[in-house]
Amino acid sequence: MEKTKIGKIEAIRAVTASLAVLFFTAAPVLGLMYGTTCALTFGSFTLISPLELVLVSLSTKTMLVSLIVPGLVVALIIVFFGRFFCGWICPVGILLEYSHAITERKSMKGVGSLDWIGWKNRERYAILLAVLAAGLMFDFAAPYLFSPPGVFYRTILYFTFQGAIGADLTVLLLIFTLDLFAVHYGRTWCNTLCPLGTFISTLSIINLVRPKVDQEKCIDFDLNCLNCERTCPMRIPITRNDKWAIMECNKCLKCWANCPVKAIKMEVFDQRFSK
Amino acid sequence: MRITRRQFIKLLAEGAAALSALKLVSLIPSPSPTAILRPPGAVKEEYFNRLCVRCGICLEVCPTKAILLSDFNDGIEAVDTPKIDPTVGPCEFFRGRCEEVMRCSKFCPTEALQLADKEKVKIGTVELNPDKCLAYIGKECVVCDEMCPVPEAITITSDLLPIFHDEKCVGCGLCVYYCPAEPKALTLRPDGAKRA
Repeated sequence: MEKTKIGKIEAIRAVTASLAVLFFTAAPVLGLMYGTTCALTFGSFTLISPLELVLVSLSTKTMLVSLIVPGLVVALIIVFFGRFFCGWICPVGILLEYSHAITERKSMKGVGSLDWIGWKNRERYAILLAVLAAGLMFDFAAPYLFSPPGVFYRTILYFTFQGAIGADLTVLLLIFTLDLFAVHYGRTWCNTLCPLGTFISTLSIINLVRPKVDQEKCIDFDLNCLNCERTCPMRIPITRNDKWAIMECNKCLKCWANCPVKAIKMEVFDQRFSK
Repeated sequence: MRITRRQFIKLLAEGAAALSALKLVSLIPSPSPTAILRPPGAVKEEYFNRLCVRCGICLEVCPTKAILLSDFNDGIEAVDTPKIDPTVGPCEFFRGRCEEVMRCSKFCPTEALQLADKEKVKIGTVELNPDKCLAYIGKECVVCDEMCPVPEAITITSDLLPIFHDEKCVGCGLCVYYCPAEPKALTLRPDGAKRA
């Protein structure tokens, strides 16, 4: 039963990501939309990734007035939906999950030290701050390094428009090579290093959809189950209901589908709103 | 999220290590000593890499496909920024398929490429290599003069030899693109470029 459920969710996620890839490949050729996830334009209507906007502003020490509204629109979407983008649209993240499923060794499955998981949850903020400080202190803004979906879509557009393969493929291969060293369950890039992902999760203050564990049903303490934490690609200590950690949730629904006693609910509204 | 003092110091060390790693990366010198040929309307080079978000829009809207993406040879900070290669496509901002506007600058979401008066834009300067030029070798060829959109940027002497006038040249690269010599007798360099 659980197997089919998780299989269906995986299939839907693969389809949404493929549709996004198809859209970003075909739309510029047809002239409907230009750009990648870094910034895109429908002619008069422009959207820009807030991380890119912040990096540009920090490194040039100016504010691009025309981009404040496009940046805020995207930021507002992120405030409500958080890392939904990482779990359902970002092709790099989903490919990393599949590539890691191939390389993962059985002996490595399972949770190591839970403290280590918590530690990894904090480490990413240090990396994001270092990236922002680099822009501010020595004007080093290299957004191509910090936005994997941008790198992926740029590789595609460069190939479709010029028939050439640029530096992006090197960066992409670097990300996949890094992930080979992932100790536990893949997506090391996404849950530890990715500055874009950390930025998105830091912005997701409202974070509409999130898993919540019913502590009375949960069999973690009796049987040491922890199926949810074992399968979570974002390495969230879900059973602790930690507000900061839950902001990383990419809504992949793996914990929800894998729970043997159905103790996890995907809450649509935070308690703040329901009370 | 609770952090003990020990963990906080660890976090600071992590951040400092990441910051110094980025500093080291930014210090890698560019292997190529020449400046990059930027599309028309580009801001000054010192601001360009910081303003460009590498969205690739300029590459997609270019009607002549003259824009390529820089790679690691152009410097670590310039990776994926747009550059012009006249051997791949000519830039027709002065006259032709670009509809009399610089489409790349018009669509650029940031101010890395800015719409400017086309009379004030200069991408670079074309240089002639007389050893390879068909006219100088002794064959009849005035293709560069026929293609040049700028009046008096190329003049033909009474011996049918092309003379290039650097101060008139806008660096569109049409002459380079259509030059029939193999290898091409003309090269477009970013010397004397006028930027916003």
